[in-house]
Amino acid sequence: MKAGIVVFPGSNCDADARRALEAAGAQVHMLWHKEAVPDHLDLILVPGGFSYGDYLRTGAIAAAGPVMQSVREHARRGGLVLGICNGFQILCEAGMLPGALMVNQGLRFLCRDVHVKVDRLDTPFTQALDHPAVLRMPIAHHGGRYVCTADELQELEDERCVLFRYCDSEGRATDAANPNGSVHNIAGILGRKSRVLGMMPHPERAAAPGPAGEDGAILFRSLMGAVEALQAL
Amino acid sequence: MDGQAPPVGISARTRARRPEEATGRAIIPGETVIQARIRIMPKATILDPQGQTVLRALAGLGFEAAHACRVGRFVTLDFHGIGQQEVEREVEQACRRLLVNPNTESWSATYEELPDSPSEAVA
Repeated sequence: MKAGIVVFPGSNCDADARRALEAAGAQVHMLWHKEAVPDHLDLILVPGGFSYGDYLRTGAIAAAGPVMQSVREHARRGGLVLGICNGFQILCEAGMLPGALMVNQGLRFLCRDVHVKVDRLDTPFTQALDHPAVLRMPIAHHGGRYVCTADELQELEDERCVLFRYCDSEGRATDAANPNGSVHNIAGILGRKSRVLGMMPHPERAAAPGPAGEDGAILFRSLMGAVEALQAL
Repeated sequence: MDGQAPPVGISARTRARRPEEATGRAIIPGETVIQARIRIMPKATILDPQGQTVLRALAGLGFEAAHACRVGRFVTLDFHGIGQQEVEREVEQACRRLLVNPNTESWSATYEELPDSPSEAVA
């Protein structure tokens, strides 16, 4: 798998994402946002951080940059896109995913582990799972409260586009397990043909042995498997 | 540190480009400058925890008559060399493409002809 990681001024999860992708066996290109995006990539990852200092709205300035036009075209061609944290905010601001991410309900920056549940195993991001699962990953954000219109929410649910939902360790998506006030406990959503994913938790920070656990590695293994399966056709 | 020293970490190329990016075309003396004053607010349907917190803090200071608070953003944009109609079109585009997230925010603008050159000198 050939993966590109877009780096904006203020991105700070790009190196972790690189390590996680390389550990899964991917060949990684770092893409400074002013450089042209190679067109042979299987995956473009938009990493977390504070692009442009979160000026105006989180992700808004990055979303208006020319590199996002290339990311949009990559998605249109059927390429995989993964936006994590600030990357999720950027994908929403760029119109590649519905809705928006607002300041957390409690107004605090949240930095802790959360549980998210996954029901769908038929996506390139989760296909390495063999059963529906509860995953533990860290969150680290100030603006992670997912909001969208009632119609968009209906469509997300009807089309089964909510890939990750905040839950407790038993998999119950309760209010108490919702760290930031996201509607329907949404932690991650799928976009175009299930090949674009935006998520607030950080799988790349839980992808190697350590206190955060390794649950996040399943995403990168899934992506590897999905791309290899496609290439074998 | 000397106040004139460039910020650490900014490349010479970026530094050299910065002034013209900031000012665009030079303003001709006597040219009309129109200032757009853009007010951006969270939509009524969107929870505004910042506004709620400000309201609680005000109540704590004894401002108990205030019963609702929402916090938004105010942006000024100075235009020169184009008329009011064109300025309004530009502002519309700027709001749609960058300044406003239509999912969560609404905006309105007023326009003011500035007497002389821009209100704030560009450093």
